Amino acid sequence: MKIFKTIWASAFLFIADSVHAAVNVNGSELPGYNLTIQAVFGIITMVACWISRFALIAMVVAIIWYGMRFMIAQGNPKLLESAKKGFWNAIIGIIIIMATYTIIATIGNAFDANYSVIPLSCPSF
Amino acid sequence: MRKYLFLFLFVTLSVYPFKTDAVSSICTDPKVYDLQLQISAPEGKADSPVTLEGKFKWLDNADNFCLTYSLRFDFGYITKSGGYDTLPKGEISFGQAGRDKYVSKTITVKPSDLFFSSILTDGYTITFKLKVENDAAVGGDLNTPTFPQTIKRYTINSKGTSGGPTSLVWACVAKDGVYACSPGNKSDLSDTPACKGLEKSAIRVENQNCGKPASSVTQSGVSGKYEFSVPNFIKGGPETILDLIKVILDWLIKIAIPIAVIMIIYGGLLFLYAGQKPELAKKGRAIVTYAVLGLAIIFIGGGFITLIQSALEAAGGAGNQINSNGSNANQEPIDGLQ
Repeated sequence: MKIFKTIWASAFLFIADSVHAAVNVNGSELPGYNLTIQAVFGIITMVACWISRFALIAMVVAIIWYGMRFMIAQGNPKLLESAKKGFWNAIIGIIIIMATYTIIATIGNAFDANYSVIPLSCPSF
Repeated sequence: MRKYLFLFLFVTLSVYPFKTDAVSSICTDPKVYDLQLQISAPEGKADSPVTLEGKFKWLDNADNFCLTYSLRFDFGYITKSGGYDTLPKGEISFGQAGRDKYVSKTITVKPSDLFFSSILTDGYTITFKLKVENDAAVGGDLNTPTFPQTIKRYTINSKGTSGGPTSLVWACVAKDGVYACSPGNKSDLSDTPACKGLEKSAIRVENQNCGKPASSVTQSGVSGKYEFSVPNFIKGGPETILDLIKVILDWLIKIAIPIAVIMIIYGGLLFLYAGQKPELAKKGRAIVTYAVLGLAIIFIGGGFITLIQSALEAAGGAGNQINSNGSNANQEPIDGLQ
């Protein structure tokens, strides 16, 4: 949970940094950005996009990590068992992350909802 | 150990996603596109509207790849301190541009909206600039701001007549209801054929109103009709309370979907790093399950009302729709049986 809190905090930090555009009012330059209520949607989408990208990287790292656990086991049945269990959990995790939009679209379809906003349009994926 | 690995990765990779994707350098070469900026008048008053027209097309030697970019105009100007700033509503998206036809967009701006009136003395020159940007990204200028073709200057001249609203000309209200102005500004309207027989009703009107229907223009000293309306300032244009609720609901769903994405990915990440700890896997499973449950409730939200409504309609309407013959009144008669 602590890690998740860190992600949130840092994500907002980076958003704050990226919107440091100068807005001109009557010839004088003021720092900041004209935030409207519509911007809330954009900010949350941006965080979601960021976390999806981060999850892609985390997946690769996890697979390499469990691969190393297999190597370190050296045939030791106890360690091997632990590596195996972790690896299968990682596979489930990857399936869940990759299927995020599929899950949402399936639910949306099941309840006949207008879900035109998915997949989220991320700036650069 | 795992926590530190996670944090390290997070810090090292956190810069990556906010990198803006620039337009390929093959497409930013000024030889492969044509960008023009036209201005309605080179000089005029500080409060008279200036119309800027931007035109863009790819040239024949542009790579096919360039044509796939979704682009936008960025109308801007040089500020008092020498920096560049976009005009109000100056970012106009136009999608993909072709080789055969110019994409043209116009924007109207008043110099007095951009600068303090104390700066806008006679002879002050405003420099307008036009950039083309990749619409999909935050950055990615197609041309550098110094590209000379895209600059147009506007000099403040309080005596100028271009766009000036104050000069009055003699006119009459012609038979078709529009102001017919005298080209030579003669008070007897002798040079205005449309005013024949109406010379006695000559009035002075502002030159910008020439040719406009008299009913739409109010003159000083002349009684006129003035209509106004308050524009609907809520996005989506709701007209009733129900519409407003719909707008809010739509907005909430739009927020809910990114949150659902975040929660499902968080659940997946917990699974990913659960390893030997069953309690983490259990937590991940619970998060995904409840995210799905929450989404289902959100999606059903509007549909639930419709469901009840249709059920009530089916119950209430069934008796009315069946006529005395026992057949459905809505059914079309079949040709062969008539």
